[in-house]
Amino acid sequence: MKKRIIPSILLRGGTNVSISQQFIPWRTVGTLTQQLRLHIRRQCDELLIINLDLAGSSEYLSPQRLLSLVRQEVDIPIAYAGGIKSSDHAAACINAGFDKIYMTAGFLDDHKSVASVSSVIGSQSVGVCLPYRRADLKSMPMIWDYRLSAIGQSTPLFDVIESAIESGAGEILLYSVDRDGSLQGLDINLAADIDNRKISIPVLLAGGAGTPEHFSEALSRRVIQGVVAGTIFSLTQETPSTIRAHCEQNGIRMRRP
Amino acid sequence: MVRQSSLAATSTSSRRESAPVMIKVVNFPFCNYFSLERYFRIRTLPFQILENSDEPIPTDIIVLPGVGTFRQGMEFLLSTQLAKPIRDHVERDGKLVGICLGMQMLLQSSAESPGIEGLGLISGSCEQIPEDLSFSVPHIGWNEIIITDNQHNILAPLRCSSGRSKSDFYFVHSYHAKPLESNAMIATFEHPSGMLAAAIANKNCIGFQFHPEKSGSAGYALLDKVFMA
Repeated sequence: MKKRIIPSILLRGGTNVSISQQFIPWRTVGTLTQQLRLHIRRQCDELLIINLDLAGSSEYLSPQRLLSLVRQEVDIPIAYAGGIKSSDHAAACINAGFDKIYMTAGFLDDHKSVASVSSVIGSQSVGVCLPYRRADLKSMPMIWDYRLSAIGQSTPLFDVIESAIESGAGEILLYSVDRDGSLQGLDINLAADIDNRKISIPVLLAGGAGTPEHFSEALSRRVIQGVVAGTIFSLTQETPSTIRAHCEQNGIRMRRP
Repeated sequence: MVRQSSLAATSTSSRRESAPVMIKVVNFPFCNYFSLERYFRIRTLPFQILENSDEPIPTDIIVLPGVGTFRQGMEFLLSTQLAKPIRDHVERDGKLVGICLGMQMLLQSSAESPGIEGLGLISGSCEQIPEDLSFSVPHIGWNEIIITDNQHNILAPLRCSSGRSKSDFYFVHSYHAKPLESNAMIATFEHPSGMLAAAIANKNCIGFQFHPEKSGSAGYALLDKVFMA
């Protein structure tokens, strides 16, 4: 299986694209159409849209404008995250042209919701996105529920990963909130821990990728199938093509477009 | 309902002249219909949703896309009474293209949904991809395919001298097709347990486990061979 470079597109205020630091959007970097075209032209392997307008909301309103732009522009795999809680929401996204959906709040509130979504659209189309933080570099990663400010009552990340797999998630995205937008490097210690736990479903890492070396370091781990990144593609010269070339030079099997 | 762009209606290019009379797509409740629609729209190919009142003519091409479980796919085809026109079309030498779940439904059954009968247009069944620490299941992402059959012109242009594809294609699945006749397997992908089906064919039916409509320009080039050859 070829390893994946996945630009994330953080939407806030309709189709405006932002970049974030520690999960707080801080700068608008373009529009959805521009970003979709740019990333596809630069030969990314997959795209992830995170719709902040719906994330954690109690009601899910189908984002029609977003869906119609995706239909017009995209001929590669694209995943959606933001507000999905039920199989109806998930099926609407798949019908609209997305290949995969990620659940966070929906899953944290009710682990069984993943099973009900995956029974409708298939586990291969359901991912669980788990934001986490560490109190310091060496402490245990804990789930960070972005709707709550405190980390105190949280659950250890590894317990939740097991639960997500048992619930039928087809893929897991582990998102370091501390490293988000920092460009200082991915959580390589976590990558090593995950590799040792012999997880059988694909795992993606997000948060902190700032150089091609950060990608190759993470992707050289067996279980890490992809890296999700946003800021590097907006604030540096690197593109999915340049990062792919670097990873290939380091012996990692990457997609041949 | 015919979804045809005005450009397609008026175009007289050679591409249009060699195109089929009509592409008829099964519109599952959860499927990659719009990804296919984008391809047809960009190539200005005439297409419509297959209705159970339709009587496809042999020059039509029926497309079975699909995301979801084998049970849901087959239950949809039966409840909408589309299974019979699809089988009749194939019997009348009409072309049928299955993609992902659509390909798996060409077979007789699937371990994903025991007791559910498939279309049975290709002998065999679907089984879960064997778990292996060096191969994550679901099989999600880009992979190369190995083209095992030179008789199908559709895949020949993709092939390097080694038999491997020049480009990679996008896969998202947990089950794999296991046709009874080994020559029905026209392309494979590597798994630690052996080669598993990436594409299958029997007479006028062809199925792709991967998503050509989501595989960028290489996928579009493959679809061109399927729909414009």
